[in-house]
Amino acid sequence: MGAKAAKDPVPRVSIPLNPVFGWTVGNWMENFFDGMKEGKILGSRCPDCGRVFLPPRMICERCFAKADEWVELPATGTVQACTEAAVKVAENGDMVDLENPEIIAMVKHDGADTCITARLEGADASIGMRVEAVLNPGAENVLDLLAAYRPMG
Amino acid sequence: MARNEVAVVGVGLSKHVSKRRDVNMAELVWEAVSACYEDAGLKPRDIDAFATGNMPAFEGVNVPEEWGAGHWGAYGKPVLRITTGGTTGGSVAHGGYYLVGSGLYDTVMTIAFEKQSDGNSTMGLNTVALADAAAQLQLGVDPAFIAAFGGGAVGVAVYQASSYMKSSGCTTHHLDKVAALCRNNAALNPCSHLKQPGLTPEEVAKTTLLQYPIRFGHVCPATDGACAMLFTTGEKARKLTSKPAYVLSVASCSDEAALVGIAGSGTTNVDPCEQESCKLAAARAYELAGISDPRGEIDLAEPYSPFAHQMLMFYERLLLCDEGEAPSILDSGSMNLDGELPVCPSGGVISTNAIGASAMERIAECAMQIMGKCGERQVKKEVHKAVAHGWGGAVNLNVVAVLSDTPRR
Repeated sequence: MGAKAAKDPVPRVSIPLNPVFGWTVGNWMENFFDGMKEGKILGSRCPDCGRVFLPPRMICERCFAKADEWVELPATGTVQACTEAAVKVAENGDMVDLENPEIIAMVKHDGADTCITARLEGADASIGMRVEAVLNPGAENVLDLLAAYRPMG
Repeated sequence: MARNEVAVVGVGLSKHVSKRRDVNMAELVWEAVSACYEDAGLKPRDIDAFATGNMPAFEGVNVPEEWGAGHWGAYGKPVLRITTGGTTGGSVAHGGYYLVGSGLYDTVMTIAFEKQSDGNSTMGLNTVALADAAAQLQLGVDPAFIAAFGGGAVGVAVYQASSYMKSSGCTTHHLDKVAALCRNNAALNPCSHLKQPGLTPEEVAKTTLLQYPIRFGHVCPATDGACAMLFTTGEKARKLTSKPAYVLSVASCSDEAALVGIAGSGTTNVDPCEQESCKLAAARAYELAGISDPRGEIDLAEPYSPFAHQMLMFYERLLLCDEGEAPSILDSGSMNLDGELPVCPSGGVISTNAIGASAMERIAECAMQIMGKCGERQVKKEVHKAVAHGWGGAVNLNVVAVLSDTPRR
């Protein structure tokens, strides 16, 4: 190998790839979003074991049964686990410090057996804290229908 | 201890269409799985292990077996994932055969699927093509040139088709006839995607020419669909059904990589219609099955043919006739549902292509024809032995399975 070859031994080529993937949520999640547009929180119940899924699931993963019973759940629930986000990912992919850290919590609604993870308003949170869902029925994007959780009382 | 007798006792297929918006990927698979349990008369508690696969790059979901526990009835059970590109479904079914045949498990469910409408299949194929592109880049080939030739399955098929036509005497009219035969069969199959009853070769000949010699009518659709099968021991199979479909053998063979098969792809395999690995896999499968004369003993074939010429090319490479004979056998009517050796009675991959599931659906069709479960598309002759084929990987892998109504002696 001469000195010239050693200078740039690996030619670099970039091949542009532009993947666009989708995810069909299915009828159960469509029903969940439609419910929130009317201010309702809808879960599905397994007819075999009775567990209530929120967000709803079509199949109970333990019973292999179709969870086709719908139940309207209250907006209230309990924090099962929580964290504080100190950074966010900017549009260009960089990590930037948040001016005010945000609380994110796993919330189990009263009457549900599974959790929803979402932003919690305020600066303090603790496991066991009572919270309620803040719905935004007019949201353009279905993912914004559940705006956040808010501490109760 | 290894077992001599492995049988298929159930098959389940989801609805196959181009876009399923009413179900997500896991729910789509659940449809096939539920149908399979019902077909076999079994419940999740009867299953000892699961094998599954799809082509993850197509949907961009890299761990789809995550949903196995719930949506397949695999809660608390072993789950093995196998993925080999276009042959995935065949390899998964081979896995099911191995799991039972090894003696380690009695009853195994195999599951294969694709939900192409969620994903970006061309993008997925490009990630496959990168392995081949790397070799070309080493040789200094312009990336723009590679992109033009590597960007899609049609680009691969046209070289193979023109090469096959030159060596076999197959004409474009034969391609039209294959498409018409398959789409008419598909019209009788409730789970097929493109149903075109009464379609004539003349109508196929009027479809848009994409890249010579392939017209729009010669190409498979992109399908959302899933397939599930149940494999068990010969002893258990005979208790479950009076007519199980025994798996006599499976064989797979990897060839030299030749994605494009043109100069510059860094391969010595320059003839994309040669398919030496298909001939080797077929010969091995027949030998293991105790079949010395495949032309006389095979009653039905399901070759993997997303493009029209491949039905004839793989019929030859599966050693069912001499090379170059398939076009005249097609003309004779032998490949029809009422023919001497019906080919693609399901309608074939050219009519339905949920990619990850396709090679399993070839085996499923052979099993269903042997079990007499095909309804309107049940072939006229009695099916004692059938051969199922898959083609894929990065166009380098061929998988073959031989099924029968009687166990291997």
